[in-house]
Amino acid sequence: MAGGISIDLDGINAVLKTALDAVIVMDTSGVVRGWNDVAVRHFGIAAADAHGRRMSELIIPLRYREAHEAGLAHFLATGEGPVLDTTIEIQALCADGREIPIELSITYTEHFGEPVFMGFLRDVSARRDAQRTQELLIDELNHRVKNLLGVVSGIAHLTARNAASPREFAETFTGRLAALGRSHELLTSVRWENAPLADLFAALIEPLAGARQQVEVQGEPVELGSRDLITVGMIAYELLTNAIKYGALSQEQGRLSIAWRRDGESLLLTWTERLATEGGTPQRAGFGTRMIDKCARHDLGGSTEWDWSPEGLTFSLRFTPR
Amino acid sequence: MHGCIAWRLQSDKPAGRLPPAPAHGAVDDELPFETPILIVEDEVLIAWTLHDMVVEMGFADVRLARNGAEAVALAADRHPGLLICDVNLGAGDDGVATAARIRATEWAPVLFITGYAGDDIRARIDSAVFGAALLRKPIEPRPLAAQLRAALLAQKPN
Repeated sequence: MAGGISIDLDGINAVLKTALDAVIVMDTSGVVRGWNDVAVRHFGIAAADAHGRRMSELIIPLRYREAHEAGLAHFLATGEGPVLDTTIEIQALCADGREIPIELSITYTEHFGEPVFMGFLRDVSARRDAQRTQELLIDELNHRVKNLLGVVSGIAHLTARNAASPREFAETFTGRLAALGRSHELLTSVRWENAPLADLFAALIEPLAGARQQVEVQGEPVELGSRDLITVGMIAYELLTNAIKYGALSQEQGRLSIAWRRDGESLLLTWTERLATEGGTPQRAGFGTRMIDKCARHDLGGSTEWDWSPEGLTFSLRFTPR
Repeated sequence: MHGCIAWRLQSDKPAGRLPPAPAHGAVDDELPFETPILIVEDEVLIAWTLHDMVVEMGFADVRLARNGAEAVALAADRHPGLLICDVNLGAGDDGVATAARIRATEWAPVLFITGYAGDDIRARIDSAVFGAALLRKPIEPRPLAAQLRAALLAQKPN
C-alpha cells in the first residue's frame, strides 16, 4: 500500500456487516477494497470477485465511467468533490446487465489508516415503481376528469336546450349530475373495475325512499365495465325520472319491475311499468326518450324498444357488454 | 338601466343559438355551410353536443361516428369536407390514426378535440395529420366556431 499505510479492513468489515445498505469501500486509486453482503445481494457480485477490481468497471454504467474517473482525479488534485457528503440518485449496473435506481451517498474518511471512500447505496426500485404508478394514476385521473367535464358540459348544453325555465334547468341538471355521481361512487368502490348491475339499480333507487317498495329489481348476477355501467346508469335515471313524473311511480299503487337476463352474448334489460289507474296520454318521444335512444345506440352499440300502452310503459334495451 | 335592457335583449334570443355577429372569430356568411362535416366521438353526450353546436352554426350535413371503423366507412361514403375528431376513442384506432387513415384518401381539414393535450399528443398529430388544429375539452361554441372558420377558409393545398 502507498506509503506503507494499510487499510484496517477488519475494522471496516465489522461495521459493514451491520449495515442495512450496500456499502462499498474504494481506495484513492479507484480500486474496491470492501464489499458487504447487501452489495452482494443488490448487484449479484460476490465479495471475492469485487475486491481488487476497479470500481468503474463493476457497477457504474458505461456512460458514467468517464465522469467517475474524472471526478476521482479532480478530487485527488483539488480536494473538491461535489458528490461527497450528499445524497444523489443514479443508476447502477448489476452483474446480469440490469440497471437499478439507487440512492448513493459517499464519504471520504481517513479513520481506517489509508484514506478511503465509503459508498452507501440503497436500492430505490420499489420507490421508483411506486412513483411511476402514481404518475400513471394521476395521468389517468386527469384524463377521466377532463372527459367527465366534457360529459357534464354536454349534459348542461342538452338540458339547457330542453328546459322551459331556469328552475327546470337547475332541477333536471342537478338530478342528472347526481345520478352520474352515484354511478361514479359505485365504480370507485370497485376501483373502476367491473361492478354489479344490481348495485347500480340499488344506488339509483335508494333516494326514492318510500316509493322503493313499488319497485322490483331482479336479474342474474351481471357485472358491467365502467363505460357501460355509466351509460346504463344514465338511461336508468332518465327512465326513473319519467316514471316518477308521469309513470308508475307517480301513483301510489303503481308498480315498476326492472329485470335483466343474458341472451347469448347480449344482455336484455326490461323495464315494465304498470299504472294503478290508466293514465292519460303517455309521454312519448320527449328529450329523455331521445337521450336514451342515443345513449343506447352510440355508447352501447345496442337497440331499444318502446311500448307505451294505457297500462304503462314497457321498455327494453339490448346490447352486448364490452 | 342599460344592464337591464341588455339582459332583456339577450334573453329574447332563441336559446342555445350562437350570436350571429362574426365578432371574435365566430361564424359569418362567407362560410360554405353545405360542407359535409363528420364528427368522430365515442362519448354520446359530447358527440350530441358537438353535433348541435355545428348545426346551430348553420351547417346542414353533419354526421356522427362513434369509433374509428365507423368513421372510415362513413368518410368513404360521404366524402366529408371537414373532420372533427376526438383523440381518445376507447377501443380500436384512436382519433389520430383514424384521421390519418381518412386523410390518405380524402382531403379534409381536421379539428382534433382532446381533454389532455400534452406535447406528445401535439407531436403525434403534427407528424400524422398535416395542419390539424387542436381544441380542448370541454368544447365551447366560440372557439369551435373560430377553428371551423379558419379550417374551412384556409387555402386547400394543391
